[in-house]
Amino acid sequence: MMRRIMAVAGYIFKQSFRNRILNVLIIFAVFAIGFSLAISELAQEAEAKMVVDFGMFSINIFAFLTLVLSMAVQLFEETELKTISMIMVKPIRRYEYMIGKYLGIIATVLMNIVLMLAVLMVIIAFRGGDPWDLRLLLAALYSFMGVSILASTALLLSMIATTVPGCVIYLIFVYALGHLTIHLKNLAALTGNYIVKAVVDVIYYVVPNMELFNLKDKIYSAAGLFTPGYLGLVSLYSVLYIIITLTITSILFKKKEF
Amino acid sequence: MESVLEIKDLTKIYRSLDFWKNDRTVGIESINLTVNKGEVFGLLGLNGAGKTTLMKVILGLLKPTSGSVTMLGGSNDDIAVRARIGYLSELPYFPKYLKVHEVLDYFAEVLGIPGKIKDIRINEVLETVKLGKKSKIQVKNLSKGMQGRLGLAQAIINDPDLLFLDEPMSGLDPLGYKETRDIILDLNKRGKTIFFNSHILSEVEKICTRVAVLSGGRLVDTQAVENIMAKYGSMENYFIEKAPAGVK
Amino acid sequence: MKAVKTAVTAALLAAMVVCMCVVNNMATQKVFASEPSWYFLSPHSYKKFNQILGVSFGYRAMLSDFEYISFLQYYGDRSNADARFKDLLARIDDITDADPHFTFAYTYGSAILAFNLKRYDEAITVIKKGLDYNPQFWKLRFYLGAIIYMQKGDTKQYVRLLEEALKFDDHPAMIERLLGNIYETYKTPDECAAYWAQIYKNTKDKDTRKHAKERLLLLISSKKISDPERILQQ
Repeated sequence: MMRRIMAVAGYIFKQSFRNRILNVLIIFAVFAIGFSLAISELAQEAEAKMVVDFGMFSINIFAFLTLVLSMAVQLFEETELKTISMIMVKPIRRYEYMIGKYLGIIATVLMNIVLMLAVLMVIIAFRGGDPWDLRLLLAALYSFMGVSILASTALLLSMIATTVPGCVIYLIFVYALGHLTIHLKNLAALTGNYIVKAVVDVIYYVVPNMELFNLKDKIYSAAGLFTPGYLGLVSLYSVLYIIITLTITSILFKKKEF
Repeated sequence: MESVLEIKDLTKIYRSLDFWKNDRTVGIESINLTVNKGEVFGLLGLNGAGKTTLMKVILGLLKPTSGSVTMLGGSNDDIAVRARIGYLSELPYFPKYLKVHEVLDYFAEVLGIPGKIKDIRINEVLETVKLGKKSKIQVKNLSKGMQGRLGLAQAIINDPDLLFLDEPMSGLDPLGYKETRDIILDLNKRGKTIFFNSHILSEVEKICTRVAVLSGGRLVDTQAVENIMAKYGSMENYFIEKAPAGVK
Repeated sequence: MKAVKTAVTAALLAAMVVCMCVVNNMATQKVFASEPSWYFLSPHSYKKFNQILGVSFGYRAMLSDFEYISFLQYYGDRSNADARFKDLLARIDDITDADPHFTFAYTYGSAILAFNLKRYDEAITVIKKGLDYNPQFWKLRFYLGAIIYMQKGDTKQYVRLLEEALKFDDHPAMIERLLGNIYETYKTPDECAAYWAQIYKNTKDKDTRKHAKERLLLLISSKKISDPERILQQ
C-alpha cells in the first residue's frame, strides 16, 4: 500500500516540480520576498518587522497559489484529458490514490515554502534581524499546516465542483471564509440572535478555521499563542480535519465515474 | 474453452444531473457476452453505439445500472484481478514534462513490479513498442504515434493476461497501424487475450478472431471473423448491414 | 461484514468530527483570550474596508506596516504641518487597530505627539492603549512617565525616564536627538560632545547619525571642548 501511495505522490510531485507555470510562480514569489527589502526602506525604524511581515505574507499567499495551481493542473488533466482512467484500472485502491495525490500536492507546497523561507531568512539576516527566530520558523510551519488543511479541502471540493474554475473559486472562498470564521463567531455572539448563531456555528465547524494557523500576524505579540498547549491543539485540529476530509473525499471518489 | 470475460445482462443508463433526473440516456442495454482465452475480440459500432461505455463498465470506470461482469474468474473490484489486466484508453495523455522512463516507472511502481526487475521490464516493454531509444525523452517531444505507443507500453508493462485497447490505432498513420497490429498479434501469440474496439475495419479484419457489433447500446451480433469473411466477403459489408440495426 | 465495517467507519468518523469541533473551540478560546475584543470584526468594521480585507486574507500585520508607512508619509509631508497634523492620532489608531502588538507604533507615535507637537493628552491616550493591549511591554511606562513629567514641567524626572528608555534597543531614534538637545541646555560641552559621539557611533538611524555629526562638529568648531582629538577618536 505505501509503495503505491508513494508512487502516486512522487508522480504528482514530479509533475508539479517540472510544470513551467509553477516554476514561474516560485520565481515571482522569490522576487516578492526580495522586494520586501526595498519596501522596508519606507518603514523607517521598523524595517526588520516590515521584512518579516511582508515576507511571511508572501510565503503564505504564494503557498496558497501553488496549491490552487497544482489543483487546477491536476483537475484539468483528470477531467479534460482523462489521464486518471488508465491509473484507476491498475491494482490501486481509490483511497490510496487520493492519499498519494494529497501527499504529492503538499510536498510541492512544502518545497516552495522551504525555498521562500530560505530567501526570507537571508534577507532578514541582511537587515540585521535574527533569521533563526523560533517564532518565525513556527509561523512558517503553521502556514504550511494551514495550506495542508486547504489542500485536503480542495480535494473534497474537486469531488463536488464540475469544472476547474469552479473548484478554484470555491477554494479562494474557503480561504477567505476560513480566516473570517472566528470573527463571524464573535459577531454572532454580539447579535444574540439564535438563528444567526446557529448558521455561523455550522460555517465555523465545517469551514477550516484558518485563523488558528495565522501565527505570522502574532510574531511580535507576547499574547501567548506560541505555547506548546496552543500549538498542540492546532496541530491536533489540522490532523483531525485532514483525516476527516480525506476520508469523505475517498468515499466520494470511490463512487466517482470516469 | 476457458472464458476470461463474462458479461451478463449488463446495462448502463446515464442520468442527467438535472434536479428531477428525468433525462436518461441508455449507454448500453442487456449486454450478454463471453470472451474466451486467447481470442482477439473486436467490438464494432457506429459513433455513440456504446463501445467505450461497455469497455469502461467492464473495467469498473463506470458503475453498471444492472448486470454483472466477471473477469479472469473475479470481479473488476478485485485488486488481484486488476493486477492481471492492462488498459489503453483512447487518446492517452501523459504529463508532458515527464520522461518516457519516468512514466513507465510510475505505472510499474503502482503495479508493484519488484525493484530488481522493474528497469529490465521497462526496457523490454519499450523495445516491444519500438520506443527503446526514447527512454530519456520528455513526453512533450514525442509524436502522437509515439505517445500512443507509450500508452500501449503502460498497458502491457505488467504482462497482463487480458488486455483492453480503446481505439489503439486512433490518429496513427498507416505505418503506425502496421506496427500496432504487429504488437497486438505478437501479444496474442504469447497467449494474451485482447479486447479492443476500433473503427478501422481493415485492421479488425486482420487482427480479430471474433467480433461483436453494438448498435444503440444493444448487442446486435457476435460472429467469428472467418465466418464473416466467408459470408460477406469483407468486414465493411458485414458492418454496414449490422451496425445501423439497433439505431432508433 | 461489510455492514460492520461501514458502521465502524461511520462511528470513528463521527468521533473524530466531535473531537475536531471540541479542539477547534478550545483553540479559538485561546485566540479570543489573547486579543482585545476590538481586534475582532465588529458592526463598525465596515468603516475600514481594508481591515476587512486584511482579516479575510490573514495579513493584518502587513496591513499595519503599510498603515505605518502611510503615517510616516503623512508626518513627513510638511504641508500637513499647517493643519498641525490633525489626523496623526487617527493614523496611529489605524496602525494599532490593524495590529495591536505593533509596539513601536505606540512608542514612536506618542513620542511625536508629546515631544514634537506637545499634544500630551493624545500621547498619553496612545500609550495607555499600548499598555492595555501589551501589558508585558513595560518599556512603554518609561515613555508614559516622561510625558507626564514633561507635561508638569519636571525636566529632571522626564530626562531620567528618557535615559532609561534609551537603554532599550527598540527606542525611537528621535529620543536620542531629543535628549541631546535637552543636554545642550544644561550639560557641559564636553558631556554633550561625549553624548553625541556615542550616538554617532551607536545609532541605527542615518538621519540621527547625520544630526549627531553636525552637533559634534559645531561643538568642536566652537572650541568649547577640552579634548576634541579624544572625542574624534571615539
